Amino acid sequence: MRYKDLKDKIVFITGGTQGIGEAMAVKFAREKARVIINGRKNNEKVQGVAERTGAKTAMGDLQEIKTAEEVTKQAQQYYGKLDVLVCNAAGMSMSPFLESEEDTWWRQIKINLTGHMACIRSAIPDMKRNGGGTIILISSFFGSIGWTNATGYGASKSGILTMGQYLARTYAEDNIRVCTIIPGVIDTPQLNVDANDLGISLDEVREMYAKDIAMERIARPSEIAAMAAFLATETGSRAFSGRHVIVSGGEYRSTPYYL
Amino acid sequence: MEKNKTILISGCAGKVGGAVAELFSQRGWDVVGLDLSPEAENTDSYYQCDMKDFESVKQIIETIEESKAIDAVFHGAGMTFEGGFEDTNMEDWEELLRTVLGGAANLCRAAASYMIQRKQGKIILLAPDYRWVKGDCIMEASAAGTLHGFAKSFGAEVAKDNILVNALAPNVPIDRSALAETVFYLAEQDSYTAAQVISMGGVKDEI
Repeated sequence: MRYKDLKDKIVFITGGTQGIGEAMAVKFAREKARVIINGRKNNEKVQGVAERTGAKTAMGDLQEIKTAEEVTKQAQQYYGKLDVLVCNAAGMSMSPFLESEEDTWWRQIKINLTGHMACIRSAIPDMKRNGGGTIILISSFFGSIGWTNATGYGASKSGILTMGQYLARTYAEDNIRVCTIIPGVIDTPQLNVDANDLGISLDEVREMYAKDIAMERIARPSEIAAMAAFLATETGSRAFSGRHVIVSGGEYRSTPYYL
Repeated sequence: MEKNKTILISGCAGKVGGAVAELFSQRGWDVVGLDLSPEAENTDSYYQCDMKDFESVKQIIETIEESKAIDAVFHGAGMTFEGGFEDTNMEDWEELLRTVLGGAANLCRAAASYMIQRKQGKIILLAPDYRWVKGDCIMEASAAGTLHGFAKSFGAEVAKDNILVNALAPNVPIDRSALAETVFYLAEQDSYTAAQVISMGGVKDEI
């Protein structure tokens, strides 16, 4: 199925060069949207994604606020505006809280939360002028329920969840809609971080997580991209602004009963 | 040519069930309707049925499954309810609960066994959020609330068989076109949202 209202929409995806972001670039391109992807560094992989999806690129590391602002402005300039901003880029490092190095800990907050705050602040005046827009935030179930050795990552991802609710409320009258996805465990390069943290292989990590998921498997990146595309439509963004959708393959054993 | 998919809709003669039926019908799905009313629009086949009666729900599903596979179920059956919390007559409460929760349980018991064999199916339960409604909706809210626990628990049980069970909790008054689109997304596009209570906006949204 094609969503008619995604055709020609201008979609900027941070962290759009691999994992969920790459899958979203592919999905939005398939929906005939005009896609711009951001990643830290330009390389062959990025060029490959850009070629396959016809995406433009706006490269730069979001942990620098100035860079985050600049890449968002650059993304706006390609087609003169942004209809959809997908805040997906993420940095993750795992370590026990008491042993965490301050720089490493804060780096995650800078990329995942503050960097996106800067992207959103750069995008909103333009969206207001253009009669509205949609912002899709990618949180994480590490942020919604917490996870061992992921305090910095969890804090950044719950921060973005709450930020989304407030942004939706604040900018509703400007027709800016803010929807959040809380993905479960996805089969992306980020799983390597978990594997290294636990000292086990990538396959063992996949199996370990699958055991705790009701569907007994981890997600494919395209399964999160499908939800992002729906939330970017007129109806999806209207129905879910200020809200979150948990795309997790069912409850986790560790999920508190009230979530 | 690819075979049409089939959705079974309870409460099909109601406003919400009707909106879901209309959208799925427009998009080329076979719509099988269930309701207490003598008829409902936008259905390919229709059965007058009391959702509280497990035997009749089961028989209807057996009959449908003889000719086609049920790919998705939408449970939108409810009832209009007179009176507030303090003056509720217990028979009315029982009737409401047995329609909303009992109806969901009956549909799931009857349909899920076929879905499990096929390792594929979507079940979407309507559980409206009455928090923003002025006036006393305590009984309706309580009945809808039972579906939250049901969807999470039953959803967690059958997720391993690729049966995705979710409760949709739209604000009342319900934005019926948005609800129908969301049901369509879950039924046709989604493959990893399971055992959730999904909160969504209504006509006049309160965030």
